[in-house]
Amino acid sequence: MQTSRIIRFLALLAVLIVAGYFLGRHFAKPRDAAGKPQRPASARDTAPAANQSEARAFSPGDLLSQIFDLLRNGNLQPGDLAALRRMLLAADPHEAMAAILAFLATGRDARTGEAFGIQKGGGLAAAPTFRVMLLDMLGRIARDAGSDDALTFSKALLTRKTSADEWAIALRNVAWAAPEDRAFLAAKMHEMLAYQPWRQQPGAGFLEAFDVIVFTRDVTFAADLAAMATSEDDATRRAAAAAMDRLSEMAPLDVMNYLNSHPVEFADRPFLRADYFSKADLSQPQQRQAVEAYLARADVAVAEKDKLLAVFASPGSFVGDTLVTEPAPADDPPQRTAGLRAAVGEWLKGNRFPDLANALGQLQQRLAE
Amino acid sequence: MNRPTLIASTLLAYFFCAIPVLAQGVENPAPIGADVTKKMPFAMVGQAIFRSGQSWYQGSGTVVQSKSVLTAAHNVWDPVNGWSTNVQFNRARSGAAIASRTFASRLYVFGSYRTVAARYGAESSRAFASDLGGLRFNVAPAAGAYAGWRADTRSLAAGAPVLSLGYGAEYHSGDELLAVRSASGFIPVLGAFLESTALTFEGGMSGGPVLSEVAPDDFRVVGIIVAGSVTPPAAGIRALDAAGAAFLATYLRY
Repeated sequence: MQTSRIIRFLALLAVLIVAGYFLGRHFAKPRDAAGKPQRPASARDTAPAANQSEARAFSPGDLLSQIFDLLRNGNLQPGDLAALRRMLLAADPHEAMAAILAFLATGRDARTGEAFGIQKGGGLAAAPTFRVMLLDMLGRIARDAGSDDALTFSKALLTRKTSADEWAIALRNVAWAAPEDRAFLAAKMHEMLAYQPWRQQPGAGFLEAFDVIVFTRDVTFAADLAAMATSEDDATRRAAAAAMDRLSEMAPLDVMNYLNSHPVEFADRPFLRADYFSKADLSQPQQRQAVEAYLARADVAVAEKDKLLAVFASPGSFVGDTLVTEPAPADDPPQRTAGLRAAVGEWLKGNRFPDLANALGQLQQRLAE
Repeated sequence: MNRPTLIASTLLAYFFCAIPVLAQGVENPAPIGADVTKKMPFAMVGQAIFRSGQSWYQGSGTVVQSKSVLTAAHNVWDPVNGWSTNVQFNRARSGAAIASRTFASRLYVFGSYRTVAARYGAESSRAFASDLGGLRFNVAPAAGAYAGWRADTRSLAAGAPVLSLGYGAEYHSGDELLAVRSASGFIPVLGAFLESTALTFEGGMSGGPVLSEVAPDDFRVVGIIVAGSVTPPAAGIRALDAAGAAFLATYLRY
């Protein structure tokens, strides 16, 4: 038994060495760009295109089985999973997807020892289980190949509660393949948030899936996020507050209108609520009206309004790597600052908000620096 | 050699070449003095005063580009009070003397929806593993000068001596720049979070730089202070890794 395990390991090692040799030779060759299709940047970052005939020499299916066996037997070597990822991305996409789908259909799984880690572009740098890793690879390969395979499989997976990590990647795969299907994503996200076993013990996948809320731009999630912003769980509180902040940045007018028409939401987190109005671009008349309506609200304390005016002077953004959405741009549009300056000047001149005169004066001074 | 240069040289020699026996005990932050505070790269470190909710807090940061300061994310945002406001950066402060006072015009938190804090609990020294924050200014805090930085977690983990700086306000006034030397580097704990039990950090030093001498007389920011306790002694830093470098290059590039 032990001998056969060693033989299997040595055989796989030989396969990896040979594959590495061919990939090395490939990259040593001068690039011949003429007529060669370009892979999208997301794939190029992690998997430079390899010669498909070379990659085809190693069956993706065999490779998956061998790596999985090593993982199950505790014989996986450092770098083996990374090598597998590279080889799957370098293989013929349809063969790779077929092998992944065949493996996923078996239901077999094992923990990888990795954490749930997201890299730039939404792919996983690390996956906690073999299945999550394959779901991630399936989505990435399908996106680059323009295939619906990941969409079909992910939608089927989302009909049963497998794990929050798998759901997070399945939702991402759907968002990549069918970005217009926001209603489906929103419905599944609501279902995910309502599933108590996941909500009570939120893991990395559950929390990172909050990015799907931001992607949908669906402000009806505000109620869920407001409830979770006061959760007993630190991670849930933080993720909910951050997701609402990013949702406000993505859909400022919708969020402000929702919060103005639902005064209870975030009333127990007044300084967070103030932040969500700070995303407004006051050069846009509707957004300015929404801010003015908020500043005129009798149910909102002066301290909260002061916070909004202070945040206007130095707005904040979350800019980490996320599953689906793009981070905030590094440069703010100049019309935003101009709109803010104009609005503050007019509010002060017309004594529009007497209770806020001091805070408005400070804001005007800060904007002049 | 004039007097301030002599003092700076002596201190640097102490921090980076002190006899090994000092490494056996626990090192605590100590003031570096007004003259050294004015020297590069120490002059790029500043005290960050900010409001969160109804209270005022203090942290530290470093000018890493003409109009950008690197600090800790928990100086910039928290899940109850949201974004900090009135973030004032007092560069090279020494008592009442302040080289420049500027207010941040843009704040950034580099992080995802989940945090390691949640996994380990807010009281854990491991709580701030991915804790990078950034401040941008309309006015250059150091007239265009800045400290260099380098993403190199390997040198930190390899035991190279480093110097951590910040405006500690727990056992000191909070208005003097403190420094503490780690003779044997830090031990990797999780991701870019590294820890040492051979030194301590004070409250208020959060966001301050961890400096490494990458070449003779070339000191670079290689991480920031993010956590610490005196009892038991523990000092946590967030190393500048590839992801952190991308954050600086994108959002703190001005």
